[in-house]
Amino acid sequence: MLDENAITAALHKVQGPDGRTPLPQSGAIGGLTQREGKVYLSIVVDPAEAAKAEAMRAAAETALRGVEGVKAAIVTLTSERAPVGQAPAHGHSHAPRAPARRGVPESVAGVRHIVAVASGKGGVGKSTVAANLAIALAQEGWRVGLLDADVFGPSAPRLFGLKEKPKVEGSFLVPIVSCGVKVISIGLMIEEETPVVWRGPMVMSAITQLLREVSWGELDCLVVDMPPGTGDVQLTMAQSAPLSGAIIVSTPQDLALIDARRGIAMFEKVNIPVIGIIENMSYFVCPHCQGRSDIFAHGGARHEAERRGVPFLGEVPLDMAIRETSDAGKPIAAAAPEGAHAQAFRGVAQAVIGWLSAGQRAAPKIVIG
Amino acid sequence: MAEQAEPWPTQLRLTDGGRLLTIAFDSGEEFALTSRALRLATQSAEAKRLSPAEREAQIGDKPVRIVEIEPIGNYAIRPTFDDGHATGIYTWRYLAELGRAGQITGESDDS
Repeated sequence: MLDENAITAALHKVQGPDGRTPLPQSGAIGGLTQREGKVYLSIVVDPAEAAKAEAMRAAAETALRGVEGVKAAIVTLTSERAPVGQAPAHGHSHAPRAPARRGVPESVAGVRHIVAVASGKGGVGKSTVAANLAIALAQEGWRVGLLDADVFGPSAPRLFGLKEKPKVEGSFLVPIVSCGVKVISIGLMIEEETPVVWRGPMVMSAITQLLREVSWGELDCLVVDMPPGTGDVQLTMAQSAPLSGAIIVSTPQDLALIDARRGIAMFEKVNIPVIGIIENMSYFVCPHCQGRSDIFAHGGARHEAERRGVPFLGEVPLDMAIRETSDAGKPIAAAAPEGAHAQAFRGVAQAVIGWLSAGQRAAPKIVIG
Repeated sequence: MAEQAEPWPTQLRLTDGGRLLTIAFDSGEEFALTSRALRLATQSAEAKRLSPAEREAQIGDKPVRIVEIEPIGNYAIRPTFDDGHATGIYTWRYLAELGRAGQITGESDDS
């Protein structure tokens, strides 16, 4: 554990948002947590003053890095306080050991919403949907990140055409920006042909690192491309971060829908609301005769959504252009933003933004004392 | 939608030096659970194979305190008890069930 007094003393040299009061006394500290030599600090500022506050943010980061034992520091500006029960800072403890909150940040610092894109079945186009959705959200003006949580079959590097390895700054990974989206994936760290052969605990620690030890900066939404199934990764994501919601991708085929139901049930178990269902590979229009074929049947996901009482977010056709652009490293939402397919993703993005902006139930306050 | 019927807590308050956890739900219900009762009701796999009597014996008759509470995603807490037990996950639903069961009174148990 780092010396909290040393941290406070270091922050004392930084002026708060008013430019006079030292930061610890300015009441602007929204949250301060530390873990294994890394310090996460959030400063609450008026969104209108955010640009001016950047100097203060940088100064606080420099000050924290100067504290003995600090390996890395991340300071973010937020417009609202994290819903954290504030333990009394100067409470004198009568008990031998004062009850304490664990030093783990509740949410990922600086990230407003975390949305999981999941399915029960593999091969239904989760990663393609996640990539296009992230790009569409960015086109709507949101600051977006994409975390490829499929450690065994990472797709993000190919989808976004990424070749270079992410840089490390002060033991935080720097995500790579492509098509307006900050992308991180285990696939960026290993060769495309190299397999990841890991047991559960390794996967869990990798996911936690990809989530917390990446300098995401300020994000409106972090899209998480989940692996198929309901296993270690899904559980780790559900437990280590408060997810705002989940989007379920399914083909209309019964075989895929069965597992999609399992996915929905899993999210219900851990109180993660389902934002909606997307039907991928919904239909196929023959480029030669323009005839339409419902290869995997049609409307199955829509019916499932109605049955479960969750929104239906739209259908994406099975189309050569979507596959080609995905393999070429520039997803359709970025390659042909005015095209019909990109517009379908824009529609989904707008629905997601609407859903997220409507607000969710706040996390309960945990008060001690 | 099933979600609406789910109990959702608005506040968890740990008082009495960590011996009492009071949970307020958005339904207006409020339950006070002693840390001892929570410790006995742990859902942890390693404790589930024990009978209630064995669990009692494991803890003894000393008062139990919660020393840490870690939130788990959107749905649960994981308290650390002063005897070192920290592998029980208590979902909102389970906490509401424990409260409603009335098997636990709001009284402190350090008599």
